[in-house]
Amino acid sequence: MADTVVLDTDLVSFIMKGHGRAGKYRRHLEGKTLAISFMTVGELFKGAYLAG
Amino acid sequence: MIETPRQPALVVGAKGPATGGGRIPLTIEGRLLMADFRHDGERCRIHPPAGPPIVCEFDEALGDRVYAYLRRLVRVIGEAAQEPTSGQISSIRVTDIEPLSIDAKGFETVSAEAFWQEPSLAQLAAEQGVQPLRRLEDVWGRGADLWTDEADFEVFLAATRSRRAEDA
Repeated sequence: MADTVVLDTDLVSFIMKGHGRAGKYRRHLEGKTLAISFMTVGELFKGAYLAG
Repeated sequence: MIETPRQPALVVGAKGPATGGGRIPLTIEGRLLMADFRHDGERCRIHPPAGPPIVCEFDEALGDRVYAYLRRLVRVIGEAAQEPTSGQISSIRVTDIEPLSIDAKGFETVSAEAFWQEPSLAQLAAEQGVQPLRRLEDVWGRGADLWTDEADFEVFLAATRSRRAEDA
């Protein structure tokens, strides 16, 4: 399963935002299947909900 | 407004006055486990989302349904025995039982059994059509409009980390 990486909420957020900090992880991401946990889905939904 | 999937109810509630023997009509939702099908001693346990599991006694006539619903989320309807001092439910005499699905606006209807199937990441990726990332730029900034500005983004990160710390 080395071809799949699970991203935490911070990194997913950096990528979605287009934040420069995501670039540091480029070599760990390109060529890999990216996965996120249900917890990250929940944290993103909660963030969106609290932001209205 | 985000609507999250409905959680199984702990106790839907007593629906009437106590019946004979101090039992109260009760409907409860949770996961059905630990069934014992011995004649004249049929019982199982329902594990609600919060609180301790509760012993459920059932008649032989309900045995096939209890067996079919084991490990699933169910709604149990029956009469509960209540501890006189604490008010806690000690057991339920089951009169009816039915399986539950989790429904929510904007979500697919999900079978409770799907939770227990434990597909691999490779299986999930195949089902969802996820391909390996070719270049970071293919996804970079795809959700930038979710935050109004940099300060809004930092507030989101800080709040998420804070909630994690509270849960730890």
